[in-house]
Amino acid sequence: MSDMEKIEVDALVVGSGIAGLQSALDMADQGLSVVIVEKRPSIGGKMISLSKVFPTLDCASCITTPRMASVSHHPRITTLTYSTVDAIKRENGVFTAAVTRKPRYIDEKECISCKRCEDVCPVYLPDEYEEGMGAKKAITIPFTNAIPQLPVMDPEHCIRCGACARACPKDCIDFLQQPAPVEIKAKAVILATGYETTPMTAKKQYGMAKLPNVISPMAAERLLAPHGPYGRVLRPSDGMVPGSIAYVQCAGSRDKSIGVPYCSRVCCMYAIKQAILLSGSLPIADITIYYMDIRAFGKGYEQFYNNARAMGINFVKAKVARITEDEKHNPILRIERQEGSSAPEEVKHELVVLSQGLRPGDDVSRYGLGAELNDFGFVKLSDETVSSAVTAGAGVFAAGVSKGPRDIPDSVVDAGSAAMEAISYIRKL
Amino acid sequence: MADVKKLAEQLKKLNELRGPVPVELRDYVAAQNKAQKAILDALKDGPKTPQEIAAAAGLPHDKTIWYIAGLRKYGRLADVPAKGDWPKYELKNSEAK
Amino acid sequence: MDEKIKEEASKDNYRQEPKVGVYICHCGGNISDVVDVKKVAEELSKYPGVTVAREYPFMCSSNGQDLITEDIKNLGINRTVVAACSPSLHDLTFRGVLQRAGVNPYLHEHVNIREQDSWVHKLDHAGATAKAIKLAQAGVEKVRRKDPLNAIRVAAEQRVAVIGGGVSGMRAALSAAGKGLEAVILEKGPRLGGKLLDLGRLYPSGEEASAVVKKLEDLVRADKKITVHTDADIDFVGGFVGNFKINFKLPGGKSQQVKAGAIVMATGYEHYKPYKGEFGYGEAANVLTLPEFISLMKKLPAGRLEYGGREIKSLALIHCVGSRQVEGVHKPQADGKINDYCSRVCCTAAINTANQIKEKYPGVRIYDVYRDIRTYGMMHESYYEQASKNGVLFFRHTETDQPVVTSDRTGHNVKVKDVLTWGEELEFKADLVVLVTGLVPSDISLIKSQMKMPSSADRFLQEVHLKLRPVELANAGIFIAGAAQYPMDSTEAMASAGTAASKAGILLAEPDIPLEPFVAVVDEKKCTGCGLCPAECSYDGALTMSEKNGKKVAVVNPALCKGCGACVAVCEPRAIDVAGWTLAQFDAMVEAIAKE
Repeated sequence: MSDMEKIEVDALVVGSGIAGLQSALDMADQGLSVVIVEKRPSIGGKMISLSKVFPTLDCASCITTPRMASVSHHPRITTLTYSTVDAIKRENGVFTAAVTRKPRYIDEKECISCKRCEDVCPVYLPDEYEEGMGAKKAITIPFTNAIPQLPVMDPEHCIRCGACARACPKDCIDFLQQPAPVEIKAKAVILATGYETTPMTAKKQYGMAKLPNVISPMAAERLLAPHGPYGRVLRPSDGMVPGSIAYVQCAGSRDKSIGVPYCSRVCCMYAIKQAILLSGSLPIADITIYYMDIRAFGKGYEQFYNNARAMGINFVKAKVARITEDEKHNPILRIERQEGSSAPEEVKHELVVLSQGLRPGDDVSRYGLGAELNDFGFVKLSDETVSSAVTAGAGVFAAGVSKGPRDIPDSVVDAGSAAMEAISYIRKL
Repeated sequence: MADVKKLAEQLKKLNELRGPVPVELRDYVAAQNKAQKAILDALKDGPKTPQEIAAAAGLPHDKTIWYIAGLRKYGRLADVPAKGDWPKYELKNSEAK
Repeated sequence: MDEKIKEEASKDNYRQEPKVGVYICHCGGNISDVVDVKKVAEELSKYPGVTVAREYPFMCSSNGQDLITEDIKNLGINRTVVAACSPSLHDLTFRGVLQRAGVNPYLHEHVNIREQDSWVHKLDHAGATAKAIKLAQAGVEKVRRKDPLNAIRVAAEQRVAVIGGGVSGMRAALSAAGKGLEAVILEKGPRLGGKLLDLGRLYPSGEEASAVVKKLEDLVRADKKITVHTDADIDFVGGFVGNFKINFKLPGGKSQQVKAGAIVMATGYEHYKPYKGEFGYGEAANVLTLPEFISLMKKLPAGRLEYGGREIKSLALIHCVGSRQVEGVHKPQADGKINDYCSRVCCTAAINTANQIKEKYPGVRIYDVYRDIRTYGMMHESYYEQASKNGVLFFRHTETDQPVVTSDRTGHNVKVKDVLTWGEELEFKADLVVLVTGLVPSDISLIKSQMKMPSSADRFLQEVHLKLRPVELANAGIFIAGAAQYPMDSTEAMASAGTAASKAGILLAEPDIPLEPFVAVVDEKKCTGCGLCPAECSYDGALTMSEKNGKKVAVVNPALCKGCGACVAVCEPRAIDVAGWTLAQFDAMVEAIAKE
């Protein structure tokens, strides 16, 4: 069929988190045409769902939304959201990517983002954007700042009542919409595929994700976010304001037994940040961080850590051997202190955050681009002493966490160098 | 506004393609509607904490707070300023009528 | 730059009656948790000259921006006030919105009701709301008196000057050249390579540092776009974005000048130098810093570790010397401040060295005395594990219980209150003490003072914003690469340097650069030619006296003027104004704020 959508650009960026957005902007601001492909319905990656970010405590939205807006307004950047990269081939120095636009079951060109479909939809579902704590509808605009502001229908949970279609002022609901293939031709590829967190079940002794008040750090971010699921910090088992909150560090890192022997670099700092934010919104709560080593190694981080201690956050050098709960779902931590006394003891908290680590967001080997992966699935550089972005695959570059855990400042700094390598490569073609 | 005929055709075709709406999903939505009604009814005589709502509506605590979050998001109940360990919720004016 | 303001003449709708749109941002709760934003919008909608006032959760988001665009289109809004965060964050964002909608971008006023209101009046909601109303009203008065302005355009040298020829400087030059720009490296030492020239085998590759330097140097030497000056002694840096000038002397005293559109500061770091007597350094024999020890080990053959004429059978590594210092525990530095920052690279460097010692001198006992082990990098944790397997003994102390080193002829005695053994005071003998010293910035005081470059509290160069503009200095056109900004390892410096080059590339993407038009403007009719103002001007050549039509008047060079307003203050006849910040605007703002 000849009516397949075709896009021809200088560079293809896979992933629209902060690293993908920034490398796209750096290339486009230097005259390149760029297409970004994002699998989720909105650009912005993980960062857009965070509350505030260390060490400056800016709200994450304040940093991310302007970049998202710049990308979406940029005359040289095209974004494909809710689209998957199925395959990429390189022939005669040109990459051809087969991309599928997943059906949102609406007419994307006609939709005016009025949200009426969502308002009238009768099916409430756990909202993955709120880590399941809040609700969305079976047709939903993903979140307030999403770009684009287009609803996505969940066909598995649609009861086909037609309410959305009747409410839509533009007649753009299309129950029969099909996936649409897109062909992208590009001279260079930047992999900015980011991360997923290690699973809550990584350590068997930590409750196997069955304890309702043992939550993920992403859930804690949503509890702290201004438009979070409850609009305030409550615990998910019963909606109580928690009076005692604990962080279990290295709950998905520095542990060979779970296949993540490396340090995830961000967990100490996000735990400290969340602790500071929690003590701001819950002034009388006790907050404890159980840790092995505090790794506050970035600019301004040690001072941030010192501030947290001065605010009264408890830092306890201890290993957490096991987590159980009492009949009121209060988590009970069995800890082995590394200072003070050595006898194991049990400590009760009302809410516990497992500081999960980071693992690769995508298995990029499936594209067969020649970019090698390290033992843990992150993209390997061909020589990291010479360049921070060049991979073993010709014309393939990596930005941000696709190469291994790094925090937001490090990812933003990283993105520009990936853009520069792509520009340099394209000039030499 | 939607073309009613086109909509009916689309839904019919959809049923042909996917089969009828699964029973589990119908049950899920029925339970949801029942729970939401119970929660909103529980608030008719004034603001309540999630604990109180759960007791009045006969729902488990974790389900209750999840429904509260959803009803709050879609503008059917609202926060009441409250101190202490528990938040309080009340009906939005439109629901109270 | 997130939003490039292009100087296309906007529609001259400013001639029409001002129609002000006022937008109050919730900043997702940052503002609206304290300020009653609905009330602010309501009050402002009644204010004279205001056509519409709205509030929105995130004005900077795409939807928020679209609100303004729609109002411009539908209501004929021709001036905007956004009351939100600091203008340093988003003034440019909203100017961009006006630009895209065909309104002169300088007809926007950004009012700060976050840093200057909601964040500092958290407990006084009514007061903060009243203040937000006043500030927004003052903003309306100001924007009504604004004139449309156009960016000043200056031709830019298509060349990047890279100060410092270490690995960061080389990478920055290579990336700039890769994009097609000329690059000039100015290195004060005799060779390229900087600090890496002194180091041994580097983590994570295990390569000799000299081999890493050679790879980069070969690329640099092969690139025709890159010029290298070693032994370059910089004695003057001046000019402005697009037109910087750097004077330097080469051996023999020959002076040269480089002209550049952008400067990359790749000036690197120095190792912290312990004071005399710090853990015995400089007093007792056999106390070395880690870099000193690495240089020593490079020269020594395998088998027998010898220093000061004796065999070293045991060795203590003491971490955090010159880093993570604590007020009241550590002696302040020369400037009276302590080094409270973590130097990031030293833990891994120390453990990497410990493993190399064990490889080369297997019999040596190693004691590692630390507070937290910060082996954060992808493979670094495995070096830590390897060190434990190699039999390195770890002792951990708290910040207040510092280890104590006493020395006599037989060697050193190290005492540590070790938390790993529940606070027991442990003591061991060591033939050699190696101080794992931190990193401090290089001495670049001349360049910093000539260009008025900002420093952070840690004395490293201060970026504009860690996440928004992480490699840019507040000085337009000057970028930071590598450890001049903060300690980082050589692989991290590659990323930083590449990005510095990228930002230089964006700046020089077109042959000329738009500059902010906020410069002094002289009303020649009012100017009496008194000559007071040039004496107040801090920027050479920005303001001079000149004859015009037989009259002596003050004349401004807009490319050099920074718009500081010092001249305005001394001008009695009020003949000088800073464009976009006029006295008439301030008068009206004060009136609006003071009005009952």
